[in-house]
Amino acid sequence: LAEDKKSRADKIAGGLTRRQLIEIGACSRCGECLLWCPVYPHDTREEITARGKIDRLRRIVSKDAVSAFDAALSDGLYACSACGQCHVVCPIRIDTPELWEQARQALASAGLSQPKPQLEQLALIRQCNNSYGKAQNERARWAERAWRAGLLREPVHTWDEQSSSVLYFAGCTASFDPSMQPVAVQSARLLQEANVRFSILAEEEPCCASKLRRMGDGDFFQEAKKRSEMLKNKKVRTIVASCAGCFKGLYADYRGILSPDIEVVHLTEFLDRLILEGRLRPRHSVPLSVTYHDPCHLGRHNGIYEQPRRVLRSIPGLSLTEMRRSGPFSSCCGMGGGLKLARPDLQKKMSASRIKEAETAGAEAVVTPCQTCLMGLTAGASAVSSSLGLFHLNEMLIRSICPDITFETIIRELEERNGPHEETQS
Amino acid sequence: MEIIPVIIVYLVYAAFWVRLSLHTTLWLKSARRLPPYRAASGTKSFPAFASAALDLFFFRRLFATNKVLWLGSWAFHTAFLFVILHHLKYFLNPVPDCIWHVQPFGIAAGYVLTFSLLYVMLVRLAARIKYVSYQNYVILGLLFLIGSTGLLMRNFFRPDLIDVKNFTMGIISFKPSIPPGNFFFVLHFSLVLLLIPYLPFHIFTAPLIALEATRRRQGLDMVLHGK
Repeated sequence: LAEDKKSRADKIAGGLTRRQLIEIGACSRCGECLLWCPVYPHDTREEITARGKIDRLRRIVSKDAVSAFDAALSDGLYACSACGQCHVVCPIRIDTPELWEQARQALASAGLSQPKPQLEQLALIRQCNNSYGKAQNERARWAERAWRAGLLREPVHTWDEQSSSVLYFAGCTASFDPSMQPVAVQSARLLQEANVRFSILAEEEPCCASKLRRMGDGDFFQEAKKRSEMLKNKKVRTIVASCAGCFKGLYADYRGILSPDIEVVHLTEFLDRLILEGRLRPRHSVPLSVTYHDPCHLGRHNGIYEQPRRVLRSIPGLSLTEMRRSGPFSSCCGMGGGLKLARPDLQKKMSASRIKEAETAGAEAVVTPCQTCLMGLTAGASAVSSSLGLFHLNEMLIRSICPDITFETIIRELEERNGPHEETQS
Repeated sequence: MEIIPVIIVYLVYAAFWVRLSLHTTLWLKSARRLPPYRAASGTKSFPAFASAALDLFFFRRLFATNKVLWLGSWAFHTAFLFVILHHLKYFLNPVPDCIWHVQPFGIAAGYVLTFSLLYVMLVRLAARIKYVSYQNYVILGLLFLIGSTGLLMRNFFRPDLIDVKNFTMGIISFKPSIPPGNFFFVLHFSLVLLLIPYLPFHIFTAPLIALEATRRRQGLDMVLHGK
């Protein structure tokens, strides 16, 4: 048993980077992380906090831990959305999101695997190359249907038909989830309105595999290499991703893997550029008082705070108010890091808290450029029966530029062209 | 009997080095490195280095998040540094000029250190969410007692400084002599011995992390790892 413990401790230590081993010894246990953690108000166990997780991890790798620490660490690691708030407030700036992901991977390699729902999700991604378990040939149906429904100015070309300066990367959710397909349609329409020549990879678009990294799957780097190679072979120059998770995956997690010649931008940054260049002109008034919810993957993880706010401020009639916690201190809605799968109860409580915060800010609606946050906030709003409007940032721009294709219109139009015979569950 | 305190001193000294080497060997357990970070465009080395220095010497991150706690924490850490410099005169012979120059600051730092600890304790106890861990209490309490006994010796129960110097120099030169017969010195010294094995390790590693994190955020590769 002692030998097993030693071998497990060595495996976990070997699974972390040298920098992370220094980091876990550097925690001063000051507890600032606890004060700001968005999970802690809903589950006040010490192992939930960054301080508690680091303490247990340190004890495990130093081999002075009993097996109960393994379970407590595992519990704490998966009851975490890896939102990075603890990193922002850490006086010694321990890179916690990276540490949690690497620790999940290290624990899995030592035989302490992910919670079952996460394992099922990972298996689905491996099997189908998307997180919805759908056939890949369904990926671009949103584009075909939207064109047939007259929601686009021109058909969306696939990369093989016509390679362009820009590759629009819709991601699994906007491609497959009927309630979020309007994100892909509106993104495409906005690019067309600005006369941007773009293409999509259609059925060749892979899952970005960032969920593998989020949930500590050791195959992530290998999978990222395959995808990077494919993008390089296709001679892609600029990737515009509308999904914050895919953006973080391609921009940050693929660093050192993806060719440096390939620029990765989030749609919000790209739209901001187009507005600044005068290629996209919000013109119709949108008389709405909104508050902006910073997605962790854009804000804290990649420093995109100002661009989406600038886009919102460019819309006539729209007024922007900030919540008590915004920018680097924005509260997480709980949709990241696989938390929704591991602890759906916590996710709901976290998003409900965020909705209450938005109500206190006095806004009529919450706007976010992340469809996953939008789904999470919707769950929170229904939990507290909130009457707040919840919108994707695209929707605000669309209402100001081409108000004929609102979210509801697109859902209705796509549904009409989405007969049951067309669904192919793989 | 006189040998017992000397043995304890060397045991504590050995424990400190054992702990330090255990930590270091722990770091060597992994050769894994994260992939290189994308360099932020337009980042200049000087501003990034200045930013790291601000984090390190001014606790900028804590200042941004908790100004009330920052005041006590920064005052304590700065005072701690000066108190250490002040105490070096007991361990060096001859005492370098720079250490003599720092003495007045070191004395003031003794007061700042002790009262800032009280302040930090009160701030933490008054916080809306109780986030003090038992380790915090142990370390804060120990440091406060060390500071208080130091101030008591400074103001009321002065030990013979020649005896103190002989004792400390004897320890570091492995020619131990009898400790000075001042109760507060013995208490002060014993509490320091108690602290050494539990010395929070972040005082050694946190500066590395702070510099490294800034390097990464700024895409700067020259703060710690010259390329």
